[in-house]
Amino acid sequence: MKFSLFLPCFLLFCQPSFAKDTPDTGLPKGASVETDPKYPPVISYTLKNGLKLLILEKKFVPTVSLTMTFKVGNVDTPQGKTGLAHLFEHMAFKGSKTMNTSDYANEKVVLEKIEIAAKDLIAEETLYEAADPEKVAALQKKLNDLEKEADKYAVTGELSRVYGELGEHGLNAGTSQDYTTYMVSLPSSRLEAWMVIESDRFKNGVLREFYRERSVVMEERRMYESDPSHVMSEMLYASAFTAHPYRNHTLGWMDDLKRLTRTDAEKFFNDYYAPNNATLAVVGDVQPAEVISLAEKYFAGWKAKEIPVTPVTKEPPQASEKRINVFAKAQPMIRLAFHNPGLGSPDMYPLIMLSEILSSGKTARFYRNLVEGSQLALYAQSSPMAPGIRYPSLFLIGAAPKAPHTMEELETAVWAEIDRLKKEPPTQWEMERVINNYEADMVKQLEGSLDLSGNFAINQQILGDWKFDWKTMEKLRALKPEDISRAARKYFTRGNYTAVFLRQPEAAENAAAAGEAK
Amino acid sequence: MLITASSVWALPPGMPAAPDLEFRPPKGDRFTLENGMVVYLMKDTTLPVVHLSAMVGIGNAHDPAEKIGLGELTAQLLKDGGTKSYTADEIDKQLEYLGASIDSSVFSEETRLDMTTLKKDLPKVLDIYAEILREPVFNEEKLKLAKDEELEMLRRRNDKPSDELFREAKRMFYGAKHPYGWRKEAATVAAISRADMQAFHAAYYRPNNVIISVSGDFASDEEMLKTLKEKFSSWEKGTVTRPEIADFKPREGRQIYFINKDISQAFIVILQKGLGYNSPEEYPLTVLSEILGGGMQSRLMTEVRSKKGLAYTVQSSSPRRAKHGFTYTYCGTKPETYSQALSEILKQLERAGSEPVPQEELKRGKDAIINPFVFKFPTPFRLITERASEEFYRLENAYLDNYVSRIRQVSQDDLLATAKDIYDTKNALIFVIGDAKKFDKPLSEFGPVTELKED
Repeated sequence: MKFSLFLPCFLLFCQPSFAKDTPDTGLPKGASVETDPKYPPVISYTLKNGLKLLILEKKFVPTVSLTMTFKVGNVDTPQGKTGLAHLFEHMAFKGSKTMNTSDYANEKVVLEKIEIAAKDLIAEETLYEAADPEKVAALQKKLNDLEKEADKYAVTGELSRVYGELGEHGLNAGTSQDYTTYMVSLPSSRLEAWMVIESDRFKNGVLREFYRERSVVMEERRMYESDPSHVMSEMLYASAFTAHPYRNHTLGWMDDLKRLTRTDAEKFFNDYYAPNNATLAVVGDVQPAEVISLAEKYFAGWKAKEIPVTPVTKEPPQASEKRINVFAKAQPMIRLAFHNPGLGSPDMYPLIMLSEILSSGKTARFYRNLVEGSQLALYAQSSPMAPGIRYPSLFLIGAAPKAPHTMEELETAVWAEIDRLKKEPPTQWEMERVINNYEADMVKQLEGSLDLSGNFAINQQILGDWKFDWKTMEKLRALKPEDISRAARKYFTRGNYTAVFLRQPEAAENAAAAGEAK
Repeated sequence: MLITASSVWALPPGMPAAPDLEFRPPKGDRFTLENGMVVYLMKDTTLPVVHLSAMVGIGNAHDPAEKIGLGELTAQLLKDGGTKSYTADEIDKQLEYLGASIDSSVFSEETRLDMTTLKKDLPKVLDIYAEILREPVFNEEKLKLAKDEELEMLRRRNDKPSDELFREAKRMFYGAKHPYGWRKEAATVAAISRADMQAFHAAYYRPNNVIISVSGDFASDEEMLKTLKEKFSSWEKGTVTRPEIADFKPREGRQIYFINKDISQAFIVILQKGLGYNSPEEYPLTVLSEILGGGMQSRLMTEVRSKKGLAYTVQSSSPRRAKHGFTYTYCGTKPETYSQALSEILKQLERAGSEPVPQEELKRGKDAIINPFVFKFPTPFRLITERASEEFYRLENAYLDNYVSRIRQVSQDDLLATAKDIYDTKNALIFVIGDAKKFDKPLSEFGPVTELKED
């Protein structure tokens, strides 16, 4: 997905040479090579269990980049269990029946005891004010003691350490509202080692050290809570969406995190981590036939499953303006949002174009008119889709006023830009600029390897086509200036609008004293 | 250079033997123009793109003390202030229409001006680029806009605790008057004039103070060299004298600085001394950093994060400077148990200086540096700029080519001696931002505390 400016994806921790000379012989039946010169010569292959492979050969250095993407994200977590997709992603680094353990048979017995103790503790804690502090302390101690007992069998960090020795670069994973993705680059001679580790962790994963990792995730959440711009975004999504799960934070609500159990995570793992719910993209100095045969060797035994269909409430029409003040000790910022129709609608493409016209670069309207012209803004940015791409989401504008100008002045100026686009279509020059940049970015994108593998895997698994970005370019090219104005008139309405303002805490007190706020 | 990744012997059973990796990164070609400008070239025709980067020998550590921010504003206004034959608006229009980019960035001892363009637009974009580098005019209106933006950012400098933490900790460590510690202030930015920028440009932007690297789709070295000569041969060389960066000696004794702030996490950083370039301690310190706080498998990640669940981020690293780099160890942790995280981190720093690193862990630490070394050169452009950096920072002869073997030679004794020298917690500076009323123990239990007011 090219337009990812505001797509939050929470990570586990904070010149290509296309081998056109390589004959395609040796590829097994069922493998197909992209031959249209508009696209890179990607080889596609699907295992019988449904695991999709995408392979692009690139020479220069003997390295390989691999991304495995699952179509499961925060939107797929059940009610009361937000954050489960992300916590599971952390747990995927905790090993298997043979990795990160010295004796799984005995460890398993202790892990069962830990689970019982943890559930007892959660049950007591969930009484909230009525919880007995002494009982909580005793149950917490029991859990801690059992975790220490399990330490006798755990080989903490073995999976990451093995990757370290193999020469990993960029080992990480990320969870968004829509998907979960696992990535790493390695010296290309380590391809088979990758197959061994990854097939093992997704077939035989053991979720050890669960409650400690849950604490790590709570720290991750606290880190973001300490950043006012992040607090604003969280408030924006929670306010703009009434019913759709995009309102929930991908890291989960703190109260949900406190009640997540290893049993929850195991069920989630069993439900969604299946070969027919995944795409593996491989970019680098590899032989495609070898990648396919190794994938067959290590992943064919992974059983396909029926993937549960998550009931997702469709967001009802907003039909009201929402204005929210967030109070924090930080300088003023605004976030303005309009519901978009999502990629299922042809209207999405004029909105993508519109976002570029407004805010990509110094010749874009926000910079020219708000940052440089009236000098109201320190910055003003937009993104056509946030926080996700699987469902209709938000067209988002983020801006900060430059003192002595106010957020209200800036908001008015943003609306003036929008209203102007509703009346006057953009110029041909503006639209050509967007297309030219898009084309240049598509060429430059091919220089990277890890990002490119991520792009292929995500576009294939989530949007159903690794060529999605190229096809988007075609759709943008076909747009007429009037299409942009029409889309602006349709979606940029007051009844479809949520505005969040960041104000100093004193503003709340002053307003309260004056009887203006509750 | 031959990078041979060592075989992995500590793999769990069932893991295939990983064959050794052999990679000899090409040298690229080096030329010197008559005016002293050094050029590195590497042709690469796989995509119709050309990358060019100039490294200029001037950084933000060379600013005049009363005009801190001069180097950064000058670099920004190279393009944003227009040139002799292009106004800033014309530059933006041309580049953005072509999908090309020219961007500057300023480091402590270096200013870099990067260009990327599609091959078909190279003549036009290079023409703009050469003027930006050689003949900027620093338009007054654009300068005012840039200064106003800078002042607005200064008003916002404490909005993000992690940014505030590192900036203020370095300020206390090096002192507010040392270029590695000072920060821009409204007064130092306001004091910068167009004449200052012109003088700064005339003094430091000289061909004999510039190394240019080019990689991408061009016909031949000869042709690219000819093009570069057309653009740069008439640029006059000059005598470049950079201001001396003052010597610095870390203060003795443990010092703790604290800013009280109502936020969800406590942000902690420990600063200790570091290294300049070409120090023999670089290799043992690189291995130590990897073992202590490098990746997910480091001691700090294992003990503070995985085994105790006290932090999401915990890491340690030693950025170098021309003189007197520093070592930082950083952690974000909840205030109610912050003392456990801080104690554990101090314990791990002390352990590195008192116990030899076991042989097996030493081997793993070295492998985790040697085996991914090839990723330093993911593209021909990155490779050629690494070669240029080697010369720019006057790194010892064949620095990149010998790097792997120097890492391999590091011994247990080297690590212990370096850890004793660097990770000396008695002389550490600890900086904390957090909500004191939630702390499980007073900070004073860790040493003498000075509370600072945010400004």
